[in-house]
Amino acid sequence: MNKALILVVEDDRPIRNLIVTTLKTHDYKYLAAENGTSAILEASSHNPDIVLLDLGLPDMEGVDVIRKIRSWSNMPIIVISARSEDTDKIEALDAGADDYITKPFSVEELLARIRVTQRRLSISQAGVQQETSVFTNGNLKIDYTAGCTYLGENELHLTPIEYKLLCLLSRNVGKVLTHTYITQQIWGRCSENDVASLRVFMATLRKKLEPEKNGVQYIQTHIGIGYRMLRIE
Amino acid sequence: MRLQPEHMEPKAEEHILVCLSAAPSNEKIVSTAAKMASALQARFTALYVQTGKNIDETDKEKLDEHIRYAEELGAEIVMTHGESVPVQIAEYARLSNVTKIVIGQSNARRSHFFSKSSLTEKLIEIVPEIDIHIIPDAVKTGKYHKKPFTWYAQRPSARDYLLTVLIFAVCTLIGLGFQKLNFTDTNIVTIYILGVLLTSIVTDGYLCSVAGSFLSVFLFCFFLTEPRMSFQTYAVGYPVTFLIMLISSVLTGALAAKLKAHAKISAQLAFRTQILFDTDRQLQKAKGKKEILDVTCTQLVRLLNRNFTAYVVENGTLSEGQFFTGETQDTEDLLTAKEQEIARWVYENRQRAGATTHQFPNAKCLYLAIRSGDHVYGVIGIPVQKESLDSFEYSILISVINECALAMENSQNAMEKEQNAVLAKNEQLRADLLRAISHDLRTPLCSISGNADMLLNSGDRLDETTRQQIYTDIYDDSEWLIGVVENLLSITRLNDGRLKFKFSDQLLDEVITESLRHINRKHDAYKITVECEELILARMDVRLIIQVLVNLIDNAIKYTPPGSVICIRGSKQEDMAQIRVEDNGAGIADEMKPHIFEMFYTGKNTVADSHRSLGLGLALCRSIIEAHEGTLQLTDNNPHGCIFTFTLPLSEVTLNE
Repeated sequence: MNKALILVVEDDRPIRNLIVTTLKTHDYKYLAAENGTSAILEASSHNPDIVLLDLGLPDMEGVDVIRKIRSWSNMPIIVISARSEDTDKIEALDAGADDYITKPFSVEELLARIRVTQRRLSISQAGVQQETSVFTNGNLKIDYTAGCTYLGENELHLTPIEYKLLCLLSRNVGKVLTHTYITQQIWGRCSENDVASLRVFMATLRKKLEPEKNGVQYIQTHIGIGYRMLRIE
Repeated sequence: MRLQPEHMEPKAEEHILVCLSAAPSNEKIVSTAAKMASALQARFTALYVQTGKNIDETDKEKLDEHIRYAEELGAEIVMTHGESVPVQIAEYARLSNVTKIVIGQSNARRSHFFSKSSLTEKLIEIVPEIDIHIIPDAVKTGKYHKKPFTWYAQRPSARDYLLTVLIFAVCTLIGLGFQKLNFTDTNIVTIYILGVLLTSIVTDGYLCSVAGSFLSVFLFCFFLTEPRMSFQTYAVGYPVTFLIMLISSVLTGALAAKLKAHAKISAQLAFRTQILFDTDRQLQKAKGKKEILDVTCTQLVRLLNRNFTAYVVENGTLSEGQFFTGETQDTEDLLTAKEQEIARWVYENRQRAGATTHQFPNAKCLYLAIRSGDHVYGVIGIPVQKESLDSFEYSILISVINECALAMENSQNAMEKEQNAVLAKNEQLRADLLRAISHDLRTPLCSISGNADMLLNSGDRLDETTRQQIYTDIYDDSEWLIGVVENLLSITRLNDGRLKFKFSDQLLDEVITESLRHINRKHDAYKITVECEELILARMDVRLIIQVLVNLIDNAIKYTPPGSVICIRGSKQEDMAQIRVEDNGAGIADEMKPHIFEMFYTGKNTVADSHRSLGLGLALCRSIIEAHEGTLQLTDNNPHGCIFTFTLPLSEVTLNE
């Protein structure tokens, strides 16, 4: 399974070495680029499966690289950023990045992110789920046409907003959705109060989806960034 | 011609004192002194010594005019009280480092029938080190000097006459009684002198006691000497007795009258001192200019039973006027735009204006600057249209305002000192921080680079367990460094001020879960549980609060043995969200408790695992929580261990359905 081709864009040599070594030891194929221009060139010529993109590049803004790539391809992009600033992550996610990882990160974390993305990739490439009117993920089943949600055998009773949220997340399963994106989709605007409301609705939704404390986790909270629905195997 | 006061900083070494009086020539003296002061760029003070003597209305008006004139020329007005003018002048001159005294000739020549040495001579005698400038008197002063005794001639009232007659009637009766008992004449004379003394005590003024002196001689002569009922005497010595009796009773009367006048002055003086003392005490308690002004005006309202308006200078501009009212005064509008404009003029020109002065005489109030030296701290307005101030009230007013100016100067100085102290403290903190960082960062960096070097050069010669140990050390050290950097970033955020905070409404349980993801992997050996009430939204800068939680949990891990239970509880307490981090470790010793929130305090940790600490964590936590308007407290856990509790404001959110 680990045959995916990964493009590593990182200007700092020790970190690039670290990532490359990690990928090598886990049997990934990889490409490396140390600036934005060569990253775009590599991406266009080799069409990698996943891009690992550092936001602080010497020649251009990381966000611009994402926009360029998004202009022709939907290839998953995982952003690597310094921990202190949330804003650049949110900007990158809104520009079309799928996920993010914060420096300093552990090797385990990096690999986990890659695996999550790969899973999403394999499902979407299979092209089965996208077109159907029924979404299944672990025990969760959403019937879009009937507007019904099931967890195992039981039907979930969701409020309209909760249902809208769940649909939004399920259609973007595996992808981190920012607060701004979600509130824009649900309410058509994004005020501070909307974000606070979103937190409350998300909390009530999660209570219904994940009734057991240590059970299956469907929705992941990214504090200060947004939410993501995880693909359950 | 009016001289504008110099708006320059005067040199400290020159201080010119001019003596004020009611003499017509005084105006010229004041103006000369003012010219001198401006030429020398000296401090300029006008002094008036109040002696016990009453001065008549015209003199008072003259004096008031001179005081105002001196003030217009930029003088600081000072009033002192005392019997001896030269002593008072000398005293003041010495205390305020006066370098030059300007005095008029009319003041200098003190013609009395007792040939006293003149004022100037006395001054020279007392303060030989100060220059004395005598200004010759151009105005005829003859008329002024003709009435040195007029103040005695207070017309006695009918009651005074009655009392006098009664006293001497009683004296005569007693005298007759004494004669019956065959007492000597001396006793009877003494009784009369006692009568004179009593008269001067119970009656006002001088006339009754003088009249009494004569009366007693006549009564004695008429009733008590042979032959009775006639003014003739047989004995040879009686005329001498009468003369001595007259002289002694006149002197007694005069002395008693003077004593009474003194008593009155001292009473006034005591009252004044008491007031100033009271004011002073209250002013010392007051903090800040506003409060000082409040105290001053409240005191003035109480003393003079008048309304006042007050303006305080803040950041170089005059504030809006404030109105202070007595009990039963009407409240006419004294804070109109025009009045405020005059107050501003007073502030800008540093001299009095308004009613009874040449500047804006149509104003409702008289405006006085609260000034010390060249600095104006505020302006006080006194409505004087209905009733004017008498000189005693005015002198009290001036004294209280001077006290107020002094208090304001002190408070200003104290404030500046405090600001400097804060700056110095910040500087100190920064220096400490740098020192602590550079020292404490070096240790793990050394360890990392040393270990890596060892692996590079001799990795193959090491056995597997040693290599594992080295890997673990490198990992731990770098984790520690990451933690330090996180804290330093938070400190920079804090130093940038609260404005830079990114406040948002967060669910407590999500924040707690997120913080646990940041705890380093050592926590596997600990049992960490979370109990959080659902749906508590609190307002916070989430990165900083996560930092607080990470620090608290890390601390709990660091200072408790492996296997300890750490419990994080989130709940709603009244109108605050509360998070508790509890552990069941050994707890914190009582003597350490007061210090744990201090920066760079690391304690004498006995748990071996905590190999180093910057001592920043808890101090930072407290700063962060305080910036969120919450509190961070340490309490003991039962049966042992400690609990850190912090609170955050709850969010007010309206749900958009």
